[in-house]
Amino acid sequence: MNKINSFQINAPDVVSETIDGETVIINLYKGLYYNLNPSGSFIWTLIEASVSKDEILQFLKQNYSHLSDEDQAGVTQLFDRLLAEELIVENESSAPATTPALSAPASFEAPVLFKYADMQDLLALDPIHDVDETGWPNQPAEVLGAGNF
Amino acid sequence: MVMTAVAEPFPEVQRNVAEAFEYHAALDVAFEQAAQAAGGVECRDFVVAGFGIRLRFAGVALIAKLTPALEHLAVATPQTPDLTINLWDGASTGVMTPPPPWRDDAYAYGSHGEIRGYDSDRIRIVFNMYFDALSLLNVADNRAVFWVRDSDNIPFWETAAPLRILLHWWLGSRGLHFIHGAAIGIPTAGALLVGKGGSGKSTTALTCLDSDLSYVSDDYCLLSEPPNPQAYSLYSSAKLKPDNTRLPHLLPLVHNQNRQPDEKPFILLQQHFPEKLVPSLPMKMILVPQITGHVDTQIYPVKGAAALLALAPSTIFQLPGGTAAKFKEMAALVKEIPCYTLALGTDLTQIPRVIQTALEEVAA
Repeated sequence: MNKINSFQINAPDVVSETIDGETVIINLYKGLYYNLNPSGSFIWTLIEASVSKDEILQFLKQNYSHLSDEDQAGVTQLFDRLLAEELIVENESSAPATTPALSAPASFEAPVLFKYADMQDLLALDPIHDVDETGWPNQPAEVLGAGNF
Repeated sequence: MVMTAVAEPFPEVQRNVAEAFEYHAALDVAFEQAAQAAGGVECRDFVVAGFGIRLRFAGVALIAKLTPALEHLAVATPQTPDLTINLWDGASTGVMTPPPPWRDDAYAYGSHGEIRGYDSDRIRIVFNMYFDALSLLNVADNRAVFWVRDSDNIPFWETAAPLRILLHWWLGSRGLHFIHGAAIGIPTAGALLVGKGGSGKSTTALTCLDSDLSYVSDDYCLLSEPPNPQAYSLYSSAKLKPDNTRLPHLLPLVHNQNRQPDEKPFILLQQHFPEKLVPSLPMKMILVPQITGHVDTQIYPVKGAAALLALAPSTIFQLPGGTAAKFKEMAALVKEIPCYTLALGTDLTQIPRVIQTALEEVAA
């Protein structure tokens, strides 16, 4: 039975790297990319380790004495956005979480997910095309990215 | 709120490796027919990052379109080629490709034109629908094919950075990775300028033409893997902003003088500044240009995540095969060498001086 409110990264479409407490996320399939501020990055790392949303909230309450209702709502909103962006999906594994050895950010600020869509024109995301008499496809030029050069 | 797992974007397709190899053989036959029709094969040899690459053209129609940006790497006395590419165009030779063997439906082509089910790690196949060009690399025998329907349809960006996909595949399998970035520097230390188009990367690199800094690349370079990444020159093209109000003295040197309104002007450094080009430099820092509007140029440390954000998406999305492994390689790079913001001032003469000072400090 799956853990309630437990999620996992939407691999292989979604890849991420965390460097010095900040995370860069790329959706390889959609041509979108993102970054997370330190609080969001910390939560992301816990999601990677299959720590459930409820457990993350519990952890934050224990570690940040001044965690407000607004802060907790911010965490929930982050989960909602990560799901809406299809960066995370419901965890299909029932394996227990392996809590990583992480140091939580010194202070907790609202987690923020920044989204960038300026690379999507480099991908031909619409596969519909015509075929000419020689068997090759034709696609309107405006559908295709012309490279960044 | 609970979501179900996201479905595969496309239905699974059967791998047709054997058919792909048969198709390569048929393309070889077509190439020989094209060469016969065009009066023979014209060879051009280049050395890229130490590897011999031979371009075999059926006729001459494609030579002026695909070789100028590689001229600085040309060799008169060729070494045994490590990679051989057969190239022809349909219009001048009258020889088209054999009909593609794959089914054609909405799922046949990937986001970069990859032939789904036929493009594999043994034989790579992409069809560029923008200008009707087929690129095929037979990984096992280091041979490739480039066919285009009409050389007149080759866009300016293919002339400025030709055969990107084939070279990306083949060189990538040898530990040399296409990076969307400019590389400049002094002999002992180079800087990799990263950022999406319009970030100031190309302008920064071009300001170095009037300095003691050498130039490896403008828009794309090849980078070996950490721990001691080396940037290798690939194309000698350098692009200018369409309005080019910052570097007007370069306008008379533009290669595509008769360009269309949507074309970016570019110059070929080999033709005008050959002494500035160097084949490679050791990369000692990553610079993330940032246009400030202030007069002075400054440089200060930036977090690795910010550098990765500037480097990885524009590199990964420009070429087929963007994978988690490539992303990890780029993350390893920003962890390996120091990263800085290059806050660009309006006084362009300061830019190369600031970079050179930073490089000399790193190299000391």
